[in-house]
Amino acid sequence: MSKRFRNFWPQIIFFFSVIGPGIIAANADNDAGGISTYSIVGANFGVKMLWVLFLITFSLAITQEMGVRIGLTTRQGLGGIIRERFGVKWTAFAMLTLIVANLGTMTAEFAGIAASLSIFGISKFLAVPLAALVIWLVLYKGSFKIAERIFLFFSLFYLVYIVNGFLVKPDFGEAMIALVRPSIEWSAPFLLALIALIGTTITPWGQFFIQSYVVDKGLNIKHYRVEKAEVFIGAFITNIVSFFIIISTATVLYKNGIVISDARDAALALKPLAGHFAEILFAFGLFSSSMLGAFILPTTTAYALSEAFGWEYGFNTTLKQAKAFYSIILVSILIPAFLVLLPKISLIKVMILSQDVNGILLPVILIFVMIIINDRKIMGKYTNGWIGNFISLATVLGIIVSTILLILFSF
Amino acid sequence: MLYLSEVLNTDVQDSSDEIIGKLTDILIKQRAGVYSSVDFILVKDKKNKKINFIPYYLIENFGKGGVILRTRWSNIIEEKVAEDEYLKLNKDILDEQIVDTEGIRIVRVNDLQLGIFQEKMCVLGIDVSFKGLLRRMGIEWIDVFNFFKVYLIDWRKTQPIHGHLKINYLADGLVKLHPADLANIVEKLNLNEGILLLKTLDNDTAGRVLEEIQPEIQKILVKRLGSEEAAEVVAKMSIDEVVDLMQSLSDEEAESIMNRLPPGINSQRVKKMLYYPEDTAGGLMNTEFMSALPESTVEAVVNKIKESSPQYASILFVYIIDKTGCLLGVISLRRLLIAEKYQTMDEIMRNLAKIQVVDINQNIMDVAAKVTKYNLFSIAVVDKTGKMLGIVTVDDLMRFFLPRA
Repeated sequence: MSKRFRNFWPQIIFFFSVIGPGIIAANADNDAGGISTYSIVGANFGVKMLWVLFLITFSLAITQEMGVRIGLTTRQGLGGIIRERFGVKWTAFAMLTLIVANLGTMTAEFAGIAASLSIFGISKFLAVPLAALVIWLVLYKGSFKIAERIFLFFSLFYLVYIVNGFLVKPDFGEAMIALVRPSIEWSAPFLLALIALIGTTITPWGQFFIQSYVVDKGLNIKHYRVEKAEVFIGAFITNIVSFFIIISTATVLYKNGIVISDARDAALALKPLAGHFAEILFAFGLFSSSMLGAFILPTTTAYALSEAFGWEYGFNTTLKQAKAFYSIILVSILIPAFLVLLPKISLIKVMILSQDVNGILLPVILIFVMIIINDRKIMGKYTNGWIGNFISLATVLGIIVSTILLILFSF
Repeated sequence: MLYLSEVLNTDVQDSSDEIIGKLTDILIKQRAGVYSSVDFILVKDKKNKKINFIPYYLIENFGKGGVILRTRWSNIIEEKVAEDEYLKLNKDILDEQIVDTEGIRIVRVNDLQLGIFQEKMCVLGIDVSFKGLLRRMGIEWIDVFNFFKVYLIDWRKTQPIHGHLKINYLADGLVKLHPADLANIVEKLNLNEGILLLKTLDNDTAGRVLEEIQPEIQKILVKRLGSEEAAEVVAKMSIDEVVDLMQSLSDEEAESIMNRLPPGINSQRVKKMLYYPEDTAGGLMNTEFMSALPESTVEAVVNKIKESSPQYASILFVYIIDKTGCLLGVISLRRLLIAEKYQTMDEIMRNLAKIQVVDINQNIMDVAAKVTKYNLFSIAVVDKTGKMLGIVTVDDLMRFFLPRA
């Protein structure tokens, strides 16, 4: 066999193995919080918020690319870099931010699991503890990668929204205009939905996750172009899906004046495609993506904290070696599971509000990322260009302004 | 007990009790196996914001309340300090990762313990505990029931990775670590630190460490090292590992490193091995093996082994080959040990007819099957004409089947 030919298969395999972090992170964006937020945005405000989605597609692509670049240049996770660059106090602040945001999102994942299984008539008091147990066992046994692949595959279900988006015969002309023409309602519900929309698309955990992922995979700056392309494609695909979720709910629900109060209502948007199976299809998708998120979130928290505070970590360690690491995972599962089990809690509200928490806290993490990526001592010649800085700064400011407005309009 | 966090940013007073500024850093020299003494402190002058180096002998009192100097500030003459030779505790050590050579792991420095040792103020230990984190954040009082314990690592058992490093600064413990453990540490460090650590090792050790590192990370490290330095390290790796590495690099990169290999290493051999597919005996084999002619005496062969032993990763067998390189037989070290000095190789060797060999193109699975079936530690690799080309050891096979272990 010639040398050239021998290199063929490894190259193909390499190509598929590099395809990963961007797509996974992007896909996990359409988790419980994501799908409910997009559904609510469409159901409550029609296509009015599409312009935000259009803008944050760029924000998502740019911020994820920054995470990839830091990971590739330093081969270190975000937690470790923050610690070395900013010292203990700032690190504690950043980590606290991440913990709050992640606990919120994890609660949303459990809410998603509970909501989807309730469609099949399974009580949340059975579903949530069972799911928590499964998640813990999978992570504890170190089968994270396999579980991730399985649920990633299942969450491809979201592609049905694209088909559905055509079947509902939306007004594409109107949608296209809405994509580029900003319109705002000066009300708390609108701002709340807007921040949730940003917070579910660009997330604190996403920043940590993508960076750790490229480091863990042993990729280096040579793979930068492939990774960059992957991240951009990922951002584009995920927001295409979000776009179709919004126009589906906008056409089916908003135009008919239906308000979403539980997962069944959100499932109605899939009726044109799936008819009577809409609920089952929706439940299946919601469940898969919630599970995918539920594996990723505790992992991300545990990696970031362990790295920042110097505890042993990684799934190739034993419980005895890495007590802190596994304890964080356990707590990250238990607290959210407990919260969802509170009797009178509204699952849909949990899913949306957790995304607001994410959105409001996002600027903190993004500012850390921006300082790091513009630090020549850390990044060498791979510091940010002005486009990257402009878009990320605009994102940060956009969220801060929206948050201030939200506070003002809440009183 | 004094911690770095308790003295950093405290006031510095001179002998006239005037506060002149704040302590911003402490300079030490790191040497293997000793507690490093505090050589200088850095004082940021509160008037002109200038950083001054104050030698430790000018200090009257050094403690939690701050620092008091022996002389008046105006009497202190500015010293030129070769900063490169020192490690800065705040900048280079605190919050950074260090290697705990005893626990063979990487930890993050939460705080440093200082204290008097042999009448000098020294760095005694590294605090890696949660308690240290709380102290750094100034909220140690939270732990009212003393729930968290301080956990210190002896300074002499650690290896800082940041800052300016030279070979003689390496901690004793680190050099004694097994290359495989060192490799795990390098893998866990970030890229710059990993490179630094690798560079501070002598080439011999670095080569062995590099061999043990995961292929993907190995590749990245080699590229970062640059072909010049990479070649020096790569030269110390065993040939089959070099071959694997070269195969994973692009043609130009491999070429560039190959061209810089010192003449000692047989780059011709490496090049040849690059042509055998990875999953065949040829791709996996090691071309370094001990050989002897059939007429050599036991004494001569034993002497040869003594002389050339350092060149080989392991010697378990001596292969008997004729002048054209054809394999005739094999002798185990054990057989060699119990034989008489004057006996010749062809008298005591096991004949080719009785031993197992594999063809250069044979699939790894067949090789593994043969090795397992006949309980062999290593097996000779020959070409069609019977010429001996190399050996495949059990280690090579294990590495092939469990590349990440």
